[in-house]
Amino acid sequence: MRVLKVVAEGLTTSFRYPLFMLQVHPTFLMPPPATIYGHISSALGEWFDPEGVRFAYHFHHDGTVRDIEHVIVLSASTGKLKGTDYPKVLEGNVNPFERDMFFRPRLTLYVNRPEWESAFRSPRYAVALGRSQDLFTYTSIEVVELEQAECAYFENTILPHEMAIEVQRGLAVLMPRFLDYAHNRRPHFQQYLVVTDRVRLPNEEGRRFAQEQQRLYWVDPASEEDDGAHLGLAFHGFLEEAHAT
Amino acid sequence: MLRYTGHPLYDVGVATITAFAGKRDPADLVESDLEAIATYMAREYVRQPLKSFLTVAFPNSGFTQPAFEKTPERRHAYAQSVLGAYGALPLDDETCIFTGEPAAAVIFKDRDDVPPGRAFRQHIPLLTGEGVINFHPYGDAGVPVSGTAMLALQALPLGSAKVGGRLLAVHSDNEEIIYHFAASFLEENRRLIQLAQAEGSTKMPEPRLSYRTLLIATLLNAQRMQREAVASEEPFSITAYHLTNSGQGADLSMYHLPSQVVSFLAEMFTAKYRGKWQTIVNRAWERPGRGAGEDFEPGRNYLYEDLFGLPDNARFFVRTYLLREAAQYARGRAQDPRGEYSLAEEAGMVSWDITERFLRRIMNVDKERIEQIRALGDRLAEYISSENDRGFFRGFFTEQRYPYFRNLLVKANLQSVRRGHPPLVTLEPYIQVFEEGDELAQADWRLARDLVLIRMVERLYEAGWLGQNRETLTELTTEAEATER
Repeated sequence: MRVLKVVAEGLTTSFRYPLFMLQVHPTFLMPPPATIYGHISSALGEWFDPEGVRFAYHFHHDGTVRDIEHVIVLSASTGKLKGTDYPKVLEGNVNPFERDMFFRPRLTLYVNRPEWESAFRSPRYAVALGRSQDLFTYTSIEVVELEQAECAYFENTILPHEMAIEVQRGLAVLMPRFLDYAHNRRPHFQQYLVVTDRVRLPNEEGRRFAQEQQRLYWVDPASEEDDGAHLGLAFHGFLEEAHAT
Repeated sequence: MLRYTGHPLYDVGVATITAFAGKRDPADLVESDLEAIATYMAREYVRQPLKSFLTVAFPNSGFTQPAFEKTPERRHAYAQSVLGAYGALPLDDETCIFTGEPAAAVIFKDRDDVPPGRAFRQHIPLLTGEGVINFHPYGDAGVPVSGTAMLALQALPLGSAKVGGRLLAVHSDNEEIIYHFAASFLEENRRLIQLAQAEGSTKMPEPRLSYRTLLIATLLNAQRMQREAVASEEPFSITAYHLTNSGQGADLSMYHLPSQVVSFLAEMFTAKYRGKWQTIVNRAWERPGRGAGEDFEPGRNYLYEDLFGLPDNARFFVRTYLLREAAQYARGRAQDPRGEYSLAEEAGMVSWDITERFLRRIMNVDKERIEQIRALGDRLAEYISSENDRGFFRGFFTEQRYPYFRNLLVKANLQSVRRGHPPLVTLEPYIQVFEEGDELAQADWRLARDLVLIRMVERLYEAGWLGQNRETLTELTTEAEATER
C-alpha cells in the first residue's frame, strides 16, 4: 500500500475529553481521530470528504505535565463597552483551568492519500495539533510503500477495540471519531483500544481459534526492526465502517 | 429503550437504572422501570441525606437550590422536567450526544430562559453553566440530550460510590463490569440512605475503604473476575472517575486499570495462584494506628493501591510484594505493613509462578527471557545449596554496583568450572537477562537480579537451605537495606 507518511513534532499538546469542560481538562493518551481529521483538513485548507480516507499513526511524547491555563469563560452580553458606543456582545472572567499536557510530542501519521504530499509540504494553515497554540513542525514528509507481514509490533497508537482479544493489553477509550460539520459539528464517538507499550502480534498470550487463518499486518519497513518485526499500522476511517489493519 | 454507548457517566446511569429495576440488561427495561426510579429519585433527591450530597453532582440544580427551600412546588417542577423527560416529545433538529436519538423537547428548568433539550452543569457534572459558550460548537451553550439520557445522568450518583466527598463512577468496556459496579454501589447507597434517615442524619455516610482499594475490592467481587476460565474470555479494562462538580471547585481524577492488570488479577483468582496470592494481599492491609480501638477495620490495601502505578512502579512492586523486601519509606509508619516485610520471615511467600505471570502480563517480558531468568535462578540455587556458598548468596543479594555484581558471577562461574561442573552462566543467557548491547548494563539490571533472586529464594526454600541458614538471611536483609540507603 502506497501512503503518505508525515512526521510532525511540537513542544506541547493536549487532547481534551470533550465532555469534561470545567476547571480540569484531562487529556486522551492519544490523539482522537477527529483531531487527526482536523489536522489533515488544516493542511489541505478545507474539510475533505472522509469517504475512503484511512489513517494510522504512532504518537510519542517525552512525558506529561499538569499545567494551569487561564480560560476566559464567555457569555453573551448586551449594552455598550464602557466609554464607547460599541455594542458589548460578550463578557467573561478569567478562570484557572488545570490541563494535562504532553511534552515534546511526535506524531508519525500515515494516510492513504499520497497525492496530498504537496499540501503537507505547503500547509494552508498554521500546523497545530490539539490546541491552536500547540504549534507543530513537519520534520519529514514522504510517500512510502507499506508492506504486509505475518508479525508486527504495535505501540503508542490506537487499535480497533475488536483487537483487544488479540492484543490482551491496553485501555478501552471512547474517542470522538468525527465531527459532522454539515450538522452543527455533531460528534460521532467510537471505542478504541489505546496501546502504549510494545505488543507483538501474533501474541503468544492472545486467543487462537483452530480455524483462524494467519493474518497479515501492514507494517512500515523503514521502522525499527525488533526481532524480525516492524512497526504495525492499524488503519482507521472517520466514518462508521469496519476497521482494517 | 436504553443501551450502553461507551459514554462513561451515561453508561453508569444506565446500569444504575437497570439494577434498580432488578434486571441485568438495559434492553429489558420497560417504561414502568423508568417511572419507578424516577419516582424514587423525585422523592429522595429533595430530602436528606441525598439533598446535601447532590451538591457534589448537581450544584445549583432544582434539587439542591437553596432558594427553592421555601418553594417546594418549584423543586417539584424541576424534578418533573428532568426525571420525566423520557416520555417527552422529541426535538426535530437536535440530536442527543449520548444516544444519537432526538433531544427532548423539554426545558430542563423551572423557567424557560434556556433552549429546550439542552443540559448544563447542573444536569451533567463538569459541563459549563448556562449561557457559557466556551467548548460548544458555534457558541451554542449546553449539550443536547434525550429524555432517557437525562434520566440516566440523574441516576449517576446512585450508581457511584461516595468517597472522600466525591463521586466514584466506574466504567469499563465490559458491560457486565459496568453493571457490577453500579449495582454494588446502588445497593450500598440505598442501605446508607436508609441508615442516615433512620438516624435523622443529614449526611450520607462514606464507605470504610479508600477509593482505590474500594475499586479493586469491588472488582474482585465481580463474578466475571472469579470465573476459572479467564483465559477464554475477552479482556477488558477499567477507568474510574473520581469527581466533584461542586461549586467550590470542580475536579476530576481518572484512574486506569489497563486490561493486562485486570487479566493478571483475574488469573490470581484461579486455583493455581489463589492461595499464595491471597496471603500476599492479606499482608498488605493497613494496620491499626496508635489509639485505634479493638473494632478497627482497615480501609486501605497497599497492594491494591500500588496496582494503579503499574507498570511504572513494577520494580518496586516486584521487590516489595513478590520478593518481600521492606519498603524503606514505609519504615516507622505504624499503619503501613510494607515497612515490616522481611524475606527472612516470609521466604515461603515468594512465588516464581506468580512472578512469571506478573512478568508476562504486566511487564510484557517475552517468554524466552523469562525462561532464561528462571533457568539462571535454578542453576544459582543449585550451586549455592550444593557448595553452601553463603558468600556468593550474600554478594548476589546485596551488591549495588553493576561491575562488582558481574565480577561476582564471573568468579562463581570459574569456581564451578574448577570443580568440574558446567559453567553457571553462559554468555548468551547472561546477556539476555542482564545486558542489552556490549558492556551496557540494562537500565533494569537490579530488577533482573531481583527476579533471579525470587526464583533462587523459592528453590533454596524448597531445598531447605534457607531454613538452615535463616540467620544469614536476616543479616543479609539488614545489610541490603543499609547498602541501599
